[in-house]
Amino acid sequence: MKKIVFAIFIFISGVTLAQKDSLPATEPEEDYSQYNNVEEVPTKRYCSSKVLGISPSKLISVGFDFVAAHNIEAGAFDGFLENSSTINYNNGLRIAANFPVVSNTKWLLNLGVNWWETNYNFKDQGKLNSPFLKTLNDNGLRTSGINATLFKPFNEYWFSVVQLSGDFNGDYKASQFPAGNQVKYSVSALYGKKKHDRVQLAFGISRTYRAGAQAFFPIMMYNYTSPNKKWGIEALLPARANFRYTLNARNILLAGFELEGNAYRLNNMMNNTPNLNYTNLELKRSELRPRITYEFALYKFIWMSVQAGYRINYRFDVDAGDTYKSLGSDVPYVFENTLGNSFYTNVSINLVSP
Amino acid sequence: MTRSKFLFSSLILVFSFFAVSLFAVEDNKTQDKIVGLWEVGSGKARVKVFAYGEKFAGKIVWLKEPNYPEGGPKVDRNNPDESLRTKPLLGFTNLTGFEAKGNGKYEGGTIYDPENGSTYNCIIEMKDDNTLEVRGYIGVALFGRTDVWKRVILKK
Repeated sequence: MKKIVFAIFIFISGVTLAQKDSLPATEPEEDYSQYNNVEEVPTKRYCSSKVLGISPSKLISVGFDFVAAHNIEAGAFDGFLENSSTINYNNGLRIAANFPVVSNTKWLLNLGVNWWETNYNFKDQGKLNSPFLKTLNDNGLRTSGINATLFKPFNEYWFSVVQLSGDFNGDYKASQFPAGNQVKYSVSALYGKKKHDRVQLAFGISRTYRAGAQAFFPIMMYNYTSPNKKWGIEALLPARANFRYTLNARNILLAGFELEGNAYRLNNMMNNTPNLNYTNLELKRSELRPRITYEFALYKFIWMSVQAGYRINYRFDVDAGDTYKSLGSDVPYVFENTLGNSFYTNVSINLVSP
Repeated sequence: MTRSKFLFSSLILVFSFFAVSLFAVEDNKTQDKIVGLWEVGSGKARVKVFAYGEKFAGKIVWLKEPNYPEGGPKVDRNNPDESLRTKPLLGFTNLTGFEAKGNGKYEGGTIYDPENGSTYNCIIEMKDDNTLEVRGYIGVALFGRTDVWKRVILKK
């Protein structure tokens, strides 16, 4: 009887002890050359959306933008005289989130939301006569919107990218709901080739406000990483281009530029200015920002980005309505303003993508 | 209790245990379908998935480009732990801790990306006998990326 009980005990103990859940401390030696010869399974392969070594894309970004002091001269219009002043600084939050709602080898769909603001601090706030400068001082400029980016690979090499965005752009306060006439949308489409893991080149067209007024631009995407993965180029021309130097996987230096721009419906300015002869004034803003950026991992997937550069004004003019203007168009604006250039800095904390 | 009654009870217990074990073996066979050789979506690496205890892991056993352009076998040079940066990528265990959850799903594990030295939470779903969807993510599965792996079979 004791033998039977002992046998059952041994059996159960053996089974229980076999359920170990730890990896073997030392890997058994293997001849890895055996894995060269496999039976081919017919599989269609698709190129991925990124090139090796590219700076990490941001899932969530919370940043702060600061532009140092500069001068502004608002143009005369509708009975208002020219008005010169000094802006002590611009600042504002820049928050964005991107959610990869579909992410597999055949499709990549990112949906995003964003909130950008530019607040204006004038030196002589009580002496401002121009309703345009008053609204900048009182309300600032804001952009809030949604966007979608679709990456579709067709095979191992060829792909297309389509990007749509819809934003409320205007002189509304953070506490105000934007109005329907402040909606602006942009569309871009690209078609290109990823020759290998370190280079991709695509061409396309974009309906954009980056030059201030609504315009169509031919665009080019070029991303490249050198064979030693130490340096590369990240460009989406004419919007932005960066030369990248990778110190290591957690520290990246970027030097380049961005062309920022948008059209802002000035509802608050028009509502607060009696007897104005316009009902559809829009600020067409465009600026070039040459800059240096240092991006580094703070903790695992939390990265910090520190940027410093020079903000060069290209356009800060006010027009009536959302009119199309080709690049170099000489059609006059309702009034034109002169905005001084200045140094700027931008700091952001980011959750980066796998 | 008489001796014969005790023997009978013991036999019933042993047979019951065997029966339960057999069911468990059958269930394990279903779960073990993930075990084998898989090629990642880019076709640039093959990963051998194996069982340890009730969990599953995977190691890199083949690289399309096993050596650096400047020479020498590829190592885990981006590992946050400096002492591990000389470890060869061939034989590197990049999947660990997966538990079968039924319906071809394996959860609770992590995947390591040698390209940037990051470890991600990971879930694996077997879409069919020869296809794995491997999703690495940060925190919640929404913030992630899915790669499709295909089974490959060693030539005999």
